[in-house]
Amino acid sequence: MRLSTSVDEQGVTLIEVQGEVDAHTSGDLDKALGDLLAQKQSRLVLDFSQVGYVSSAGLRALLRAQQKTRKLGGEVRLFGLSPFVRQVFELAGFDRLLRIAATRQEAVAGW
Amino acid sequence: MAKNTSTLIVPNDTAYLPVISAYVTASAAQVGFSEDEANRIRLAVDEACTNVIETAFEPGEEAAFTVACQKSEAGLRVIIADKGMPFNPAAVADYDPQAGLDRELGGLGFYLMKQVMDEVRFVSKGREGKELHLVKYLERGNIATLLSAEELQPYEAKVEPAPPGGYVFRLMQPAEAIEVAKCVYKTYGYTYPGEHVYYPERLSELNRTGEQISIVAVSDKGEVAGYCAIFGGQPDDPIRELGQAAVDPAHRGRQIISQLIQRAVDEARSRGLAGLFGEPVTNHPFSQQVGLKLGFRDSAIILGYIPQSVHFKKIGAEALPQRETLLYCLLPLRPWPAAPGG
Repeated sequence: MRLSTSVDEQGVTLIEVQGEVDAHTSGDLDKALGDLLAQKQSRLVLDFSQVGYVSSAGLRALLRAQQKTRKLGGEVRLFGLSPFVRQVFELAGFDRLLRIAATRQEAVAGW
Repeated sequence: MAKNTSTLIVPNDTAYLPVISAYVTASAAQVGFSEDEANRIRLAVDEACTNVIETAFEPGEEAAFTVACQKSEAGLRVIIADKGMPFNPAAVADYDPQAGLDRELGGLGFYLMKQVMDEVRFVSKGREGKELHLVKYLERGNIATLLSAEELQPYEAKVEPAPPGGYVFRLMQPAEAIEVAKCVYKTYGYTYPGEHVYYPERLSELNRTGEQISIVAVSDKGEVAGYCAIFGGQPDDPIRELGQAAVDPAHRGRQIISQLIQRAVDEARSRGLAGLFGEPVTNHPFSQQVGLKLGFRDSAIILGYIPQSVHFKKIGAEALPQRETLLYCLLPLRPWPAAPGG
């Protein structure tokens, strides 16, 4: 899994995730999100358009980040989920906890 | 090793999860699952293996575990086996997908496994370790898709009796599974609880693994005239359920049910079971009488267990007047210790 991060002119952080988010790789995602939160960056948008797979380990990392961003007045949002990845979010009831958008524009709308 | 079984031995390191996933996904595709279904199977296996890697061994302990794929006409069985620490499946937390942001994630992995697989079964092997069986059945092969609507018409209440003749009561052969599924469908429609009986290939597979023991009554002409089965629980459970009884009306009135059940009881005894139980409905006294004659004893009553909406074709009224109550009838097959105080 590879991660790259950028901040747009409105101060929204975009995290591009590439690869598979399982128990082996989710630690890297967890750490990257934790580092951003330590820098008080709480408006996080994850580009999942190049993520082919996610397991419960990846969901854990996202829930932890969402709990922390909410305390800072922000939010974690995602876009570009493949049908299978979206299915995993829905099975786990994570579509109720995280805003899932179709596109990047939709994800940052309202910020 | 059986032609349809393969085994992967992997170190207890999450770095191997993609290797396991590639193996399981390819096995699922070979059986005939779609890409989406193969991904769902992969998710379950990934969660199970992650659980083994993270909880079965001491921190820093270098060990290995196995992932075996058993392919069959009915689907795919994946067995994850390890010799690590014991595991109590009853202690797994209940995950709640409706909970809010402060939800606990304990039990999420098992919850996902149960969502995507048809069966998730834990098997303790004592000193030999433990296994988790994950089973996914192919959707194809339902009796309703194998036979025409005409062939599956419910049995007529009054039919011409079959010519007199003898019957053989024996274990079902794989080729007879389609006739068994047809007999159950024509008797109960889709109302019989437990869908496996409607899938002939699954029925064969479950008999192969011992999860089900199907008994048939076969006429002189080779027709499947009646059926019953020992099922439920695990193959090595000491007490299992007896039921799924159905008889073709052309062969009724010939004590076929009694003889089927007697054959099932003999089979259970020969396999060392401690007991059998049945759950006859209370609106059909015949089922209760058959059990009583063969030594089953009423042990409990399950009030209002079946919803009023369930129809039992050819059993009692077309629609239930209220929720249906079941009896729990037990037949001990070997002497049991006396109950405390009794």
